[in-house]
Amino acid sequence: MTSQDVNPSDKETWRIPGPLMTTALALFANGSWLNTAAENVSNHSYNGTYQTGGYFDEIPSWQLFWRGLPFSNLWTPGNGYNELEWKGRDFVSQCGYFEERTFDDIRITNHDLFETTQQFFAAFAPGFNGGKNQTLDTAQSLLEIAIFVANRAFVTWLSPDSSRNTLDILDGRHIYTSPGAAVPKPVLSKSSIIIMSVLIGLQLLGLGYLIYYLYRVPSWSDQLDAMAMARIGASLHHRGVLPAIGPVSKQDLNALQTVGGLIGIVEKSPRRDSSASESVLPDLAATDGSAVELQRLTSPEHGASRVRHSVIGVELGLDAPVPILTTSQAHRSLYVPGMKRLWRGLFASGKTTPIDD
Amino acid sequence: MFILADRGWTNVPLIWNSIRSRQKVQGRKSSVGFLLPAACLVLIGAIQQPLYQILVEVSQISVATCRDIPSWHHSADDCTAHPRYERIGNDVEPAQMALAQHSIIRSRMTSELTSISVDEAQSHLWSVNTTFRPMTNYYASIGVGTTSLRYWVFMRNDISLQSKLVDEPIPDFFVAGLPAETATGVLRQHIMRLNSSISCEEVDAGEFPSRCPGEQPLTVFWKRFLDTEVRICVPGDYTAFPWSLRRSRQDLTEEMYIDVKDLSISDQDTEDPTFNTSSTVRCTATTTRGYFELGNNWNNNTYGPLLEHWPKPAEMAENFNDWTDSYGDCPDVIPSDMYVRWGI
Repeated sequence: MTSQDVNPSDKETWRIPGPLMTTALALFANGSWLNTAAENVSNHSYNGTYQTGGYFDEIPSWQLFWRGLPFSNLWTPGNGYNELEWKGRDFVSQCGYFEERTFDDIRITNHDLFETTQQFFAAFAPGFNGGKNQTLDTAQSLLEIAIFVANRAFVTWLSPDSSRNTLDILDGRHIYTSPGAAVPKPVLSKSSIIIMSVLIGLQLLGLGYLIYYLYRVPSWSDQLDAMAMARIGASLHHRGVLPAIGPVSKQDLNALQTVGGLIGIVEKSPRRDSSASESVLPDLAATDGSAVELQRLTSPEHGASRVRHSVIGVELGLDAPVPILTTSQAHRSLYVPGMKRLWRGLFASGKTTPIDD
Repeated sequence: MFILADRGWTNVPLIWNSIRSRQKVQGRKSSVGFLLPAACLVLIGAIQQPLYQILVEVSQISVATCRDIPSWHHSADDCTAHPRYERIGNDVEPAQMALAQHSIIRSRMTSELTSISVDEAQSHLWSVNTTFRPMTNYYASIGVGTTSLRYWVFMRNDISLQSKLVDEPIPDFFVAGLPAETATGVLRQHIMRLNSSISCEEVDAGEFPSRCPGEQPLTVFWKRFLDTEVRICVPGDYTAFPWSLRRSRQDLTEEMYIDVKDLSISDQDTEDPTFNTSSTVRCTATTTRGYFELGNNWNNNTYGPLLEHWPKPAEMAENFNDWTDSYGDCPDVIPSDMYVRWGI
């Protein structure tokens, strides 16, 4: 350790000893108050009569001297909480008494010093004050305070508030504080996690169902362009239910109510084989009165048109009785084989199936 | 398609009609099978955002950024220009302690022992029990400050008073270089702590060491001290630093003997034993030095207990913000258990 650096004859090399040693040095060693007082009382030893030379002499330096007494400010006068008053405070109250006497211009003598010294030392050596029954509580408490002072001095001797720290380089390890940057953080209760999970789960289920629903049947939404819209409009116009762009009468709107918007497979009229619009069955009464139906326009062909390979007399057209691929068994028997044939024909000829129009 | 064009899913009467017509017309079941789920989905999507706002509270947490880390202040960047951290004090390093001069502590001891009061607030006094909270209001009403030595020494040591205390028994205390309850925010740092316990007992006069042991023991001999002969012995070495340079916990036990021999016995009143002031007292002080973590955001501003072992270098680098400050161009160094480098 560092003991080899210590030269007992050179005080500059002395290091800080342990807390109890530090305390004992401050209380009892050379230069301490008690040691100085002990030397003084040794010179004026009493022999029971208190009359030896100089015993009642005034000590002019007393005022200065007593202020160096350890623990002389330990008990602040005037604290009213008597229950906690300390039994061994005699030497301190004596100091206060002496101070009052000096204010009154009464001489303080060696006798007073003797008493104070005796009281002070008695705090550490029970029985010294005459009674054998004194405990060591006082000694323990005083030493505890002294060691607290030693430890505090030990850990704070480099602190900025320590006036004795004159060497700038000795400033210890810096301790910092920082508030940090505030970042918002969600706080979720268990119930809200459950509610939100259920909702999101429902949404996912719904989306999944819709995807299933949409891909259950062939879709032609990629071909739903302006041309398709125009042709649907043309189909309506052909049937005389909706006039072209221009004024629209109430009758026209009412007539529109009677037309099914469902594009699907309709039976082809045997007498004609021209455009699809002409082959649409005029069975308007069979449609839903609300005319609000989800439309399923199912044809990879461009809109409603003749299907080349159709041999069973069906084709795509407006106002189909049922959506394609309906679950209704009654219609399935008729339309499903037709659709299958239609699909086969389309995929056999590839995507570049020519459009007849 | 037409229904998509009409935005039927936003039209409440329309959806209602669909449901009703669905019940009436069985054959048209599948045609509303798209509209209704779609409408439900739109509804769920619409209420989700408000629900988020209602159910999810947002609190603030503090995080350490480069502006909070003092170690980075050697690199010249934006972090250096606007530091958020603040220096709150110093902690003395073990190596600095070992080199501190004896006289500094002695002169400080002398003046502070004279001025110390049981009622002044002791800021450097920390409770060993990290969660101990004295009933400050109650003690204030009876004139006792809960940071005073009256509370931490005299009330704690008073056995008869313990049963009258309104709260739990007063724990031990320790001393640290920063005021009690100092917190370091987002940073995690350690400082040194010292705690001592002392017990005194009367022993037989024969237990007083005939020759005070140690290399440089403190011996005091007052030949005629008020009719007594007083000897004091503190074994050990009063010129040497007794601690090792490690940061891990270490304990130091010291003893002190006080022997008082009554010289007046032979002269007078030998029959009265109460005047026999001879006694021998042995006081034993055990002091523990170690480190603890200051209160910070990570530990909810509750400082940590005494560390038996200083954390491993990897742990120190990852979890803590302790640095020994550099001098000149050297980078800051993370202190290790045995790290003894110091600015000299």
